[in-house]
Amino acid sequence: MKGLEVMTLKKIGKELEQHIMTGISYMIPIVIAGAVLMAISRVGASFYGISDIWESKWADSANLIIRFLNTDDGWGGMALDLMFPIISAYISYSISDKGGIAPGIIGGMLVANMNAGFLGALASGLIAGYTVKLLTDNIRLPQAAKSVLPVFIVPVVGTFITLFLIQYVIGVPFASINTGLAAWLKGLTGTNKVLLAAIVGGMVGFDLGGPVNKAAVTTAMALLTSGVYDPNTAAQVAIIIPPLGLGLATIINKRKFNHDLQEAGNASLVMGLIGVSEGAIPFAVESPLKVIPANVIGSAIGSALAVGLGAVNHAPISGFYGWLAVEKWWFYLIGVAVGTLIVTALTLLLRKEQPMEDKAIEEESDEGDYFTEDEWES
Amino acid sequence: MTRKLIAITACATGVAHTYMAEKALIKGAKKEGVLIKVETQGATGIGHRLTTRDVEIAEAVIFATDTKVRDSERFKGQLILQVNVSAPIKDAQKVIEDALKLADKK
Repeated sequence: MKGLEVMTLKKIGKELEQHIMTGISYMIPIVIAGAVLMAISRVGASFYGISDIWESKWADSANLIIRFLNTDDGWGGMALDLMFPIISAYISYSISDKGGIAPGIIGGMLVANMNAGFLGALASGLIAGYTVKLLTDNIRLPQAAKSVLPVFIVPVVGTFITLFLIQYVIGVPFASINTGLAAWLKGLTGTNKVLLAAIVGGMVGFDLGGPVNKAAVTTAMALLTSGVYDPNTAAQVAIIIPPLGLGLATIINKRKFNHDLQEAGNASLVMGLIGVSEGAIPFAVESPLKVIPANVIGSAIGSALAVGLGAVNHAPISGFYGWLAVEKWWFYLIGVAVGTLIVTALTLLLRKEQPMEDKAIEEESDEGDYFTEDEWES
Repeated sequence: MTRKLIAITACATGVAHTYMAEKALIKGAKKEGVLIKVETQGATGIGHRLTTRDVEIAEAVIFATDTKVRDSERFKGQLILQVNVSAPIKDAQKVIEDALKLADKK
């Protein structure tokens, strides 16, 4: 009996994870678009010595470029405002399909207005999705009136219940958690700030695009909208350290890696440069106990160093094309370089040289067409 | 008769895991002597879209996904093995064996 309960709990957890991941995957492009537009405007403004380009006074500036930068900042903000409605809408969509979108997106708007933050948006998506699912699973109408459910009952009742629960139940407590958290994070200085960066970095390096990594990265992204930049800076530094460090290790000492991993090393370097931590996965799969500690330590130290030295990345971009938009980018790059070298050094220390392999590894193509359409049909 | 499977892969960002899982499944299927068609639901859209015919032919469907499967109504009534996108990257042969076992049980 007990085992059964554990099983269902695990299943529910997995289901929730899938819904939230779906929401995140639809939200990421919006955040990237908004944050980059905003970063362009802020970095551009810094060349004019302006640090408050979003203020309306710049909209009347005599300088055309400054006026544009002000407008561009507004575009970025507008895009970021969609973040909560979109994640809420798509969590809800993941649970209850098309019917979930309307209540989810409207609930997300209310969350944004109430300043109930990222947690509020997650809650809103879950509430909307399960409300709609409950409605569609339980309401049985006669055939003639069937269309009333999707065109009227689901959008209206689903939205009403979602908004009611957010407004009167979860909104206020979540808003205070959100402001409290943002204030606390902004207030961190010195050792605490560095420690936070190290923790975020370690989480990001831990599972390379898996749940722990995504939890850290998305929380960091969400905090961008509250004007808290350190977690994002730490996360973006940490994203690229494992793939760069492991890629570099394969170049420095080829003999410690088999043929497949040497290939993976080159890909990993490229993926690191464009900001995809998944490049390091083949290594983590092959020998997790050696690779994961190296990644966590390297990412944590690199992130702590960059944030501690005062680098600030305003955008959720880790690839090289974002580096120059970082405030104090030279310190940022020092963080990346040191973290990378740590991963490389630890990896080379922990690994033994490979026994000489048979050179007769069959070169097989990885492409899907290893059978013909006739074989498939037969 | 050769055994046949179909699979869908999808991850949160849709740029890396999705395609690594695809490659792993194909590699694993080759080793197991199984024919497999894999549809990737990545950030740039759906790759190698599975047709209704494919769904009819396959004995079971593997969902190696961290996110919602798009157009999942295509697989209604089919035997579905749901795993994380990382499962085939770690051990594709096991995932394929599990899917075959699922088909055998029926």
